[in-house]
Amino acid sequence: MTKSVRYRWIPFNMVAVTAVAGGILLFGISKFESYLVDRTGRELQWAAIEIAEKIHLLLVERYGDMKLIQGILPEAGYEARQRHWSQHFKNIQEAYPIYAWIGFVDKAGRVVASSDPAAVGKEAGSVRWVGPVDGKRSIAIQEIQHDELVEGQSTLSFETPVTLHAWHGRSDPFEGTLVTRIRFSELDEVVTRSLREMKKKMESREGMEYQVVNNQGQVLIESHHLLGETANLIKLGVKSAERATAGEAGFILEQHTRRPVEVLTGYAPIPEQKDFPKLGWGILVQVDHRAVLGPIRSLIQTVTFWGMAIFLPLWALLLWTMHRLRAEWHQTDAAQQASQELVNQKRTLLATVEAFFIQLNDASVVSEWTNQAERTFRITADEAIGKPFGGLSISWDWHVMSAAIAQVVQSRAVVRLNKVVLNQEGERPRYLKLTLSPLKTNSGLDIVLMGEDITEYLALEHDLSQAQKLESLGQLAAGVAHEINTPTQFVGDNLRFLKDAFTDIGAVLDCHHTAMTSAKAGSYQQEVIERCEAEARRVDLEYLREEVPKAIAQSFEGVERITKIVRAMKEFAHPGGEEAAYEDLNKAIQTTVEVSRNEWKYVAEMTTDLAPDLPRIFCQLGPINQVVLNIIVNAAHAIGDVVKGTKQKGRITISTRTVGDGVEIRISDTGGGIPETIREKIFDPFFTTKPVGKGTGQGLAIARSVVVDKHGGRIEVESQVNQGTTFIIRLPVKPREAPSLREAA
Amino acid sequence: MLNEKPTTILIIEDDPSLRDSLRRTLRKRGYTILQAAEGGEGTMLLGTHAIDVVLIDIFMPGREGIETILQIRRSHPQVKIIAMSGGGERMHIDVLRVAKASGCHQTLDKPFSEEALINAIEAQLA
Repeated sequence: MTKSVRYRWIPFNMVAVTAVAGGILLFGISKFESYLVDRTGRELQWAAIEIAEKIHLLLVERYGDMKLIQGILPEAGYEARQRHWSQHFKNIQEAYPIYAWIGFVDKAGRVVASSDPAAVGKEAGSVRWVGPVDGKRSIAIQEIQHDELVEGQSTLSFETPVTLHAWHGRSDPFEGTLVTRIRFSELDEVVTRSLREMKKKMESREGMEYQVVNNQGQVLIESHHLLGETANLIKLGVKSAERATAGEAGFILEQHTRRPVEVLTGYAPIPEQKDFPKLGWGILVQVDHRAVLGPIRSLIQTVTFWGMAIFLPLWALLLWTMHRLRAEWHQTDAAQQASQELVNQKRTLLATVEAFFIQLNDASVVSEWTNQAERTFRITADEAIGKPFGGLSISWDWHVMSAAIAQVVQSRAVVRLNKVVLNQEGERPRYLKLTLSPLKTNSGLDIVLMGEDITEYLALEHDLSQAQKLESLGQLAAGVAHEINTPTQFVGDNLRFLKDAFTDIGAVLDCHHTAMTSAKAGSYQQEVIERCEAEARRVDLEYLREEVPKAIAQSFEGVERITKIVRAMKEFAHPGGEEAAYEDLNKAIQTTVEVSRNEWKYVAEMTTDLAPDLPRIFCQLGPINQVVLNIIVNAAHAIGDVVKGTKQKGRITISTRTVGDGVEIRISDTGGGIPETIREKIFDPFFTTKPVGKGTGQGLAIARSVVVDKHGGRIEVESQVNQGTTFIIRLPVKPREAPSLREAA
Repeated sequence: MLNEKPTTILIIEDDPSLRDSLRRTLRKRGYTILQAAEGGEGTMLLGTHAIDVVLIDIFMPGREGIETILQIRRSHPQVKIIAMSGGGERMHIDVLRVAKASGCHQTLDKPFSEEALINAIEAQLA
């Protein structure tokens, strides 16, 4: 498990959350946008309708005006009233500035009366006789692009036929057309005014455009006056124009005719009215789609800005938090792993070490009982855990155990029990080494009892000591063999010599016997005497007389030598069994000197200075002999290294004396000494300076073990390089504390 | 012994009892015996007497048997050398093997029989 894998979903989540938020926002925006479009479209539609109605109203007013004027016209005579009419029209025009021109045109198309007097008598241009207007529609309306009567401006012409009945001086009725014209700019004015009002209502709406188209789709009025006269929106495919001219009202999103933008167009037709000519005009009011979305854009900008302003720090915060969380998790995880590992390690350790662990809650109730404990005590963990420790059936000395536990509780210190005997039914006693440690817990004081079955160890220690003993015995055997072989050799030779000598002497004696017999018989036989003499010469009797006693004496000496060495050997190897007793150390030292003779005699003189009043000390003599032997052998080797190749000999001095209530043995040699660098190590097991295979390195380790551990004594070494070494062994007469000695007894 | 010239044997042995017993045994067989208590004395006798066989103990104080053997091999290569030893090892060295390596002709492991001794000598003289 790595850091990167954990919580990988967090950034994904953040991205997802952001995406969802963005999606919701976009959805909202699009909803809002369509709402805005809808609303604006409706507003534009209403604006178009309003404008259409206003225009319609304006046109209807004009229609009313026409009716009014129509009514007053017949009151005056044709000739007399022509001027009057003109004056009248002028008055009307002045009163209603909306009118660009008001006039009366005869059937021939000539202007008869005019608000502009200059126009009287002129051709009325596009005005033509419209004929009697049908009963339904008494008025015609048409657009005029270039109205010559109104300075070439675009106008809307209202025309209605007027028949003036014959009056004085004229018999036939006068038929003509009453014409009023208003400028498109007036309509424009209406549109802009209403839009202006509307703009106020609709908040500011920049870039609003409008067109008024006729039933053909031709643009009559437009906001920017750019379309030109020929622009036909239906031909340009503008849907809004089509629909408006078809009499529909509504709004639509469409392409702008000139600019490459989308526009939202509200459209409405000029409403129809009874006895009013159908114009079929359409009103289009537009705003750019973009302008509609203006608020949205600003909203998006605002949202984006604030979103960024809020979200980015949030993101950063979240990432930072995540980072921190990860780091913390990592630490926690590492700690957990470490702790788990520790637990595992502890388990493994507990499972693998020879030692057993027992934990006692509050120094009494078993809370931990390892496999080794199960094996050692033959009590399973299930049987032990939760039970009072003292209630378990363990056959050891509970007094000692209780005392030890009490001591731990009281002193809060570690208590060690070096050799606790465990007497399990049906097996040999086992020895345990126990360590009781206090363990302070939240609830109180636990005791951790760690123990080890040292039975095997003790056996091994014993074996090792035996092995070393055998090693030194084997070493001695070679020397002893030599010591014994030499006397054996010459005693054997001497016996053979004596046997031959006795045969020879026997032969001489036979002669002498013959001589004696004949002498007793009184005869003297020269011949017999000569034979005796010859026989004595033959056997070299003189030689035999000299050599035989010597041979006998030397044989005695040889046998004595053999006896001595064998006895010493026996004493060394079996000094009264394994039991400890009060022993004479001087005698033991002499024995050891004897058995080791062959080790030192070629390289050293041996001097012993043994205190005659040395007290006997309580000890196991075998191991003590071993110690002395080991040190003598080492001394001989040390000297041997120094005197090698010379005729010189070194010296080994052994002395004993009483020191306080014990004895001191000093064994000095004149060898090469022990360098200070290794002086510390010489008592370590397996430490040796001898070549591989020439020593186990156990000698001094065992010496230390015997003197210190078994007998409660001390062993020290003093050494000077090139001068020699002295081992000092101090032994108490009776060891104060040496359990192993007691138990060995 | 039927040789015109009697065989002369030099015994180099530090132990007087063994030296005497060897002398007695060999004298009985008619050899001429010379004795030395240590190596230096032995090599001196080699310079002054015509010696056929040297019987030498390997373990002696002072000059070691091995050193003496080496010296005799250098100064009197014609002399046959028979080395004796108490057998076994000393300071973990198989000395008889060392003796053989250093040039002695025969080794005798104590205790040896009279017959073995005579056989060894005769083998060297043959």
